[in-house]
Amino acid sequence: MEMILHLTHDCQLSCTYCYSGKRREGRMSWEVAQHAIDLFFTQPWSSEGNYPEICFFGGEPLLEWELIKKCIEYAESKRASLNKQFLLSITTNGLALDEKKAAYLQAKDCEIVLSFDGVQASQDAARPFRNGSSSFLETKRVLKLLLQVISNPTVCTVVSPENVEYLPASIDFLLDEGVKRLILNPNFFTTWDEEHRNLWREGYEHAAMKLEESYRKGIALNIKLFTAKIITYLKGGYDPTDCCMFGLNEIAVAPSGLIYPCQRMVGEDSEELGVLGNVFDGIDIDASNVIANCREVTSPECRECDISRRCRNWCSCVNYSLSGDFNRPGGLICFHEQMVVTLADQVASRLFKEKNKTFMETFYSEKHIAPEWI
Amino acid sequence: MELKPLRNYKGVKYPTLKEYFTKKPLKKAARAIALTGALAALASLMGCFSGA
Repeated sequence: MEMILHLTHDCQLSCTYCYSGKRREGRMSWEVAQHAIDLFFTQPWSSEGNYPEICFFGGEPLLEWELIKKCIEYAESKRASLNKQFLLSITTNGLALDEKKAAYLQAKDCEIVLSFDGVQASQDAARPFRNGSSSFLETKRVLKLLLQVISNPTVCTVVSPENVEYLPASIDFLLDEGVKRLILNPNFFTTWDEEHRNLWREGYEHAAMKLEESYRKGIALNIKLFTAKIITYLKGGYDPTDCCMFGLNEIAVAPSGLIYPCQRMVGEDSEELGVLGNVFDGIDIDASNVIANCREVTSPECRECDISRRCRNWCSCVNYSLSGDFNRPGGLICFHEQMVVTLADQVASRLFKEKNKTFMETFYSEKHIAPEWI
Repeated sequence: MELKPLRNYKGVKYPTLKEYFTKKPLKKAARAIALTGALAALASLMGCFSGA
């Protein structure tokens, strides 16, 4: 289970694809955060390898640094008294990060996911400051800092029509900087015309080529988009615990204390869609039952598809945005997932045929595959 | 865009973990049987020579 705490709606940036709402003044109080953490510890607990996770999100969560520290210390005290292990992560633009904060998060085993779209043209196209100026140099500084302070930071690059033409250059740039964990996060909440879909394919082909190249150099690069598809084949599809299950394995808490089934649905926190309850009264059973009906994919096309068990057709909020129906994915999902599965399988087939040492050690180990790879 | 199921997909040329880890011991066993056979043949050949 993952609990996403939207600590604030505020942010220094004005990203073109932001879904966290335009409201700037909303910030989470300690009272809401504390109740949210109490609720987190009452949820069903999973075992080793798949511990529940508290994720700091926003807006820009580092703008609420004191609240983050208070949350971590409170959660640690609960862990000590209840003897329940959990994970921590933060998704950040990094602009408020310094060495001291990075070291603190590292010491608390908090995974830092840096949102960074790569080369300057890409970052400028999608992630400018609110006054329109470039955030590239500042974010590059943060990446360098993270690479020095923590061993293996994760970078999340959003792939959107406005920056997709720079994707090959951005991948080269990030890998050259030393990134070994890269999330390519496609923006499904927009229109992709044919020209941009072609650029998307070219970008992914380049990413797959770089992945293969890395394994040949002995580097176990994790481009999650592809490694997840390899792993879903290896183990026979996504497990229920790999999916957000829309309000079951993942819940998002808005600054107001309202609980949503997905962080994408917090938006303006206007209670329009999918409120599951609030941190003071807990999860409402009736609302939860309504949401439960949104989880099952009912498209006949999916039942006929050879890769349906490896497809992210379970993402109810993406389905809703593409088809207007939580249970039915849109055609853009077919385009994307078939492209990714095909590329991932091409890379994996070649590396397996060669018995590439790094590939075999990474994917055919009898050890548990860590959740961050999927 | 419309939903388009992928049918007759044959893009996978690597084994699942189950296939990989269940086939491996079989291969080992097959190798062991082959090795035993080879040793038996060698022993019988050596017997022939020693008897000659």
